[in-house]
Amino acid sequence: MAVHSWYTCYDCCGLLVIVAWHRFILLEDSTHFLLPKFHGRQILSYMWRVILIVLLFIPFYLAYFALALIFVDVSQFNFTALSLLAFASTCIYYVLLYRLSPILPAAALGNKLSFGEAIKATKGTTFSFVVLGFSLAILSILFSFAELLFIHSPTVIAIGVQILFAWLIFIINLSIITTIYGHYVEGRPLRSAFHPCLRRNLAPQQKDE
Amino acid sequence: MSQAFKLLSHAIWQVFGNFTSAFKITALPFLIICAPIFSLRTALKYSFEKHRKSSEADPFSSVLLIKQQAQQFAEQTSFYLWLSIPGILVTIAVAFW
Repeated sequence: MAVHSWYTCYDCCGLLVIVAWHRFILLEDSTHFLLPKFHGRQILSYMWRVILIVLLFIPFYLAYFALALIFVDVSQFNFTALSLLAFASTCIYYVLLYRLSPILPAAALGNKLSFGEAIKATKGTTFSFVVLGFSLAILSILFSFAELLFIHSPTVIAIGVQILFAWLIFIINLSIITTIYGHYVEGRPLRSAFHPCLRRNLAPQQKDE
Repeated sequence: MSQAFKLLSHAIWQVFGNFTSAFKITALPFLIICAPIFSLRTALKYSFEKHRKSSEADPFSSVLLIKQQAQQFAEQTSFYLWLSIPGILVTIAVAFW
């Protein structure tokens, strides 16, 4: 029970943080003294959308496992065939995930965006989202390698580094979803990371591209 | 392909361009809410474990086990408590900055 209550607390805190970050980037919703403002309705709506996405992915996983079993049976553990299947399913997973992702920041802002509208808004982005997914995966692997550099450090430092990298990956993933919503749904411009003027996402009225 | 890298670089810059806010909004709530609860949870878990161990079997082996657990518990708890204290101090500093 203690474990469950710990995860519940962790999840609630996570949702509070996620909604606050989306709102900060997209609405420039001000931060508060110690904790971000609690947006109960938006948090519940966000949680519901996450459940819907998970439910939507269940048939995908079932199909993947069924195909994997068939492949194993037919190809007699052929490594190439299984790798191809894993690669194809990962591509489909990234595309589905990122194309459906705009419904999450929309929920955080209190806007209604259906699955169909999200898919329509992100039309023609399949290849970009596959590259994006794999780039993020490579970034996670690089962070894992960086963590390994601290494996012989004192435990406190090793855990601290692990937490830092986990946080960075979490916030970068969150920002990716926010950027996808801002760019494809709200039509905000994308700037290069090296642009000196970029302090935060530009509001729609400041568009200059 | 370039669109993917633009998205990624924009997202990374969103984080590092607003690093103070990112820390305040996303990391601090975890430190403030979760760190003390985690410490409390570990303390409760340890005390239950200690109680269970002390009421069981061989007293000599369990004394050693409890000693090891106590050491682990102290390390974990102090780590998370120390982790939450700078977090709170940094927030206060950032809030007034």
